[in-house]
Amino acid sequence: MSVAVRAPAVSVNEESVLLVAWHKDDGAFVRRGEVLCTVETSKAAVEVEAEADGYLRRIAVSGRKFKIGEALGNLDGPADTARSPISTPAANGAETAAADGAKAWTKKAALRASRIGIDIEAVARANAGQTVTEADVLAFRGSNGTLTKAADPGNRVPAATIVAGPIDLASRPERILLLGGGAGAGAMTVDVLSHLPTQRAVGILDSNPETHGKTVGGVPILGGLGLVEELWRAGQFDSVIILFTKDIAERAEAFESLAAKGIPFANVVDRTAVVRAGVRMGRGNLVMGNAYLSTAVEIGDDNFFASHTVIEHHSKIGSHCTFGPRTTLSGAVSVGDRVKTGVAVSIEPYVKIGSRSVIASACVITNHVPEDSLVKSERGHVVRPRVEAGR
Amino acid sequence: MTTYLASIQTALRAAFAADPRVCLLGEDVLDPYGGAFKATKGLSTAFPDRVFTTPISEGAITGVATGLALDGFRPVVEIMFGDFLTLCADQIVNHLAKFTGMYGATLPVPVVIRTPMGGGRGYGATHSQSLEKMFLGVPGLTVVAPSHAHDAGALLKHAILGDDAPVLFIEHKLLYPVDLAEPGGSLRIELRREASGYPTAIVRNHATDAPDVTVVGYGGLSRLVVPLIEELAAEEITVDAVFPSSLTPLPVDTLVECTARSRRVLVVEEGTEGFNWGAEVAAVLNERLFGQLDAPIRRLASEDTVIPASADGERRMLVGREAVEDAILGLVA
Repeated sequence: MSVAVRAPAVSVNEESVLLVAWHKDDGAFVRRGEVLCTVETSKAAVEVEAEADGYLRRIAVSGRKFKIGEALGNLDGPADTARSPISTPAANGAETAAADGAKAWTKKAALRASRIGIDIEAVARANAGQTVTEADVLAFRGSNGTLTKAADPGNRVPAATIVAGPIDLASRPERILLLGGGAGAGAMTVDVLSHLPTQRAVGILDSNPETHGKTVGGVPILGGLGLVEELWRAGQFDSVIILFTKDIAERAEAFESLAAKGIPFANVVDRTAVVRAGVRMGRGNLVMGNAYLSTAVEIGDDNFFASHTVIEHHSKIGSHCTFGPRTTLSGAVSVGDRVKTGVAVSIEPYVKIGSRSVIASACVITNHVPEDSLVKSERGHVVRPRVEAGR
Repeated sequence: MTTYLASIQTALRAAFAADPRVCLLGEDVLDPYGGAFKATKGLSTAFPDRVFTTPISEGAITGVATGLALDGFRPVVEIMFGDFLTLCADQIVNHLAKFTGMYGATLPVPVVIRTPMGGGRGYGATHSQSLEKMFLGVPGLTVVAPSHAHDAGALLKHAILGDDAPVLFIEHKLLYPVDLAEPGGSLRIELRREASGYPTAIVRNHATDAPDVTVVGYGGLSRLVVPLIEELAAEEITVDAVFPSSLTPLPVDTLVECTARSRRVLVVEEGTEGFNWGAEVAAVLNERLFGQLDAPIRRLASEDTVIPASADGERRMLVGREAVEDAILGLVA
């Protein structure tokens, strides 16, 4: 493999250098770093060193001027020291070459796929060796006809954990579509999001047609829940969150159906809520003001935590639960799926709450609650009207 | 194909030929040397009574030029390296930029101070800087920095003959051997006239109304950005690269209109980060386009440190092609 010996750029002023003298004979074997020749400009004389081992083949004649970059000679590699090709890290699509050696996908295609949740490699395979374009990505359907899920985009809050650290303002805010927020829940959530710099509410969908066309806190109610897929295909949002909590079965069903279509869910955590180290959260969780999620708490998907909810350390919560204001779980409590609590429910340490249970307000739970239970306590009720005795 | 340097040389000769009041002062400007970067090669031979080589005193050079301007001449000052502007800063800031404001419009000071700036040649910390930001915002001083997408020579000729206000004319030294850009391949170049008389060059790698990203830069960065966007066309990333030629006054309407098309903007410059041209551009874009952008205004500049003499070190801290590409892709993502 032959390496050219080129006239170096010695001085800014000059486009050429004078070759003063060669210091090695034609055909001589030289080692890397040895001085081959001296060149001169108006300001200085400079030595040119061999960049590699090899046999010197002189082309230029001393005493003449040569343009910068012109080959003065060559260093021919001996046959037994031929170098292996240097592998250079290729960018993005060039790493995976398409059939004819062209790149597998354009950078735009890769960015689009990552943003809308499609596996670019699957698209490439389906494209049979042609370079994947953005249009190909947008048109892609998996083998069962639905949008496929992708690897994590990386520059947003990852699905598995919540990042409670410095805010990266360089990323674009996550655009969140609120599902079922035509009434109070929408106003509440829009308010929460308005204080979060990395997320914002871009629209609301509600099943009540009377709300359509109105706005809540400046956020438009765009129509019914059926609009989700159309808006998703149009790239109008990054993720959704479910706000309705009355009917848990309906909530869970909505979640599962959208998740199956590849729609991403956001986690929304009020600015005043405290999320401690090691908390792990799934997707689609809504945590309201002054809630407290303690160290190493694990939470699944699609849960709602009203304000001042306290989940103490090492507790585990499943999915599709709703907790009323001031619900307090002590340490290492384990809650299943689809559990509902009222206001100010208190649960002692190590207690297990079985799935689909409902715990009425103000209960203090000291023992395990089996699945599908309803727990009530003595409610406050009117005893008798007050009587003024004397004064 | 004309190089940036050749267009400067031609412009100087043309200005001298057009107006006997034009003269030039600088260090080492006489033939046969013709200046440190060869900008004045041939000039002193053609116009021996109007080209002056000077002692090494930037303050004296600029002061004498200012006096000549007050006396009715149209002097061109060559400061050998833009890093040396600090030595004539008082003459610029407190004298030639202020005289018209202090003494009236009947006392114009039509001085053009030409100087090369920029790094990438391993010349070290005091010969590689982009110090434009030190002279932005001086009332009365126009700062011009043509890219290779401009006709640099035409701009210089206008500054000398057509502009009665003092002009600081910045030439990026790595642009000198670069051929002035010509449209072709996937690139379209628009030269938009501005009220200042110094046009803005808009280079597009697409034919749509709404590119993915708008990149705003000036001067020497065009040599990085223009080839980069040509390659990005094949990656389906559409870019409008907007290069104003006057840094101040800023062509605000053009910048706003271009940014509004993509709603994602990157402002890039070779000077060090912080308190720079990009900060002003970003502030102005925010004022005019608040709430209408899809991403925060992104700025890119060289690292806030002394420029190393070592090639590796210099390459790491100066804004480079990879950093610009990453920033563009980050905006699209």
